[in-house]
Amino acid sequence: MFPGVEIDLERLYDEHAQALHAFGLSLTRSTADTKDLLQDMFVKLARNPGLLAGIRDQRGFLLRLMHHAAIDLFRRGAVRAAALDGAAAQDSPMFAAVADPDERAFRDSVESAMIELPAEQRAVLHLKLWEGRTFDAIAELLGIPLNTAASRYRYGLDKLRSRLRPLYDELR
Amino acid sequence: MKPDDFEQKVGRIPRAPIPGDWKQDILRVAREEAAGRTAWFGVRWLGTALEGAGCRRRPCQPRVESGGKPPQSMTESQAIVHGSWLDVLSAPWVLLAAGWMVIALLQWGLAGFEKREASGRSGMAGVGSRPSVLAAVRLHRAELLTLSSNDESAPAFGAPAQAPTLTNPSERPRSEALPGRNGMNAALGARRMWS
Repeated sequence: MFPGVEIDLERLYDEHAQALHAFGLSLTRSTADTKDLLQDMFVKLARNPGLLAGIRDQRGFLLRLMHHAAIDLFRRGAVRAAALDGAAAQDSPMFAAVADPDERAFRDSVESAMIELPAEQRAVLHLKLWEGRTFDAIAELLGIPLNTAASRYRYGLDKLRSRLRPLYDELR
Repeated sequence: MKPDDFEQKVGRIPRAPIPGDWKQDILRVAREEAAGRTAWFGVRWLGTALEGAGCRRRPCQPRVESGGKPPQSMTESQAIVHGSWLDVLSAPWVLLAAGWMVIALLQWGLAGFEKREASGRSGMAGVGSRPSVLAAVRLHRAELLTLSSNDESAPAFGAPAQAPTLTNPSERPRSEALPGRNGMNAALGARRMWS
């Protein structure tokens, strides 16, 4: 019925769904929740085709949408989110599978360490390490001050370092 | 600030790929939303119903495709050409309903106009604000009613005159006597009858 919108949706999915999926998994640590968030986001885009009009950084805009949707999800299911925070209830791997046992052990350790981080530090780490965003962009995307973004990154990275130092040194 | 080795190593870990079957599901639902599937179903249902009414009004004929034959997937009875919407719109019940709607709309509009007149505003925008004669008469009548209802000494406009209230119990009619006395009077009367 709206061929233009259909083409846009498919292109958007091909270009950004992988990154949104990774960010969603970092935030929710649940495959089902991530799929729900992604679905909601595309429904929203389908309903408002003009939402992306004039947006230069579409990836950043979509990541921000995903972040807001995740916050809404946490607010709706605060009890479940609290339960997830307490335990390593990761129901899907955060990283791609690998055959090398050493590398697999390192990835598992990084994943465990990431799970232990607070959600806000995890979000900043993800955007910095895997999306390559600047602190300015991260601050704008998450709606926090620049210094807060930088400090969250520093605290999160320090925790990862201290947790993974022995393994990392061994691997080097 | 350049990332150190640790940051680079962590940042190079590839993320888990998105499941392949998500794309179809997500885009399908999004497209359905975009198409307003629910509303569309409603419109289509109405169209089908009207076409069906048209078929009942005028006998349906076999559908003639470009090749001159009905589609193979359809039976002879299914391969029909529905009556046109004009046939439906010219049906008596449709005309009656349309006429009724027009009358209802006119009445509604007149009522609104009258209400505006009564409130002292002109029915036409920007044409003065003096109340019309009808509105003035209504206002005057309302004032009269208000005055008469406020004046307690005078009887209300149109109300029947009330009889004065009797305050002395001895002057009270027998029918209004106290129950005890009433019963005593009845007993005395009965005694007189039997004696």
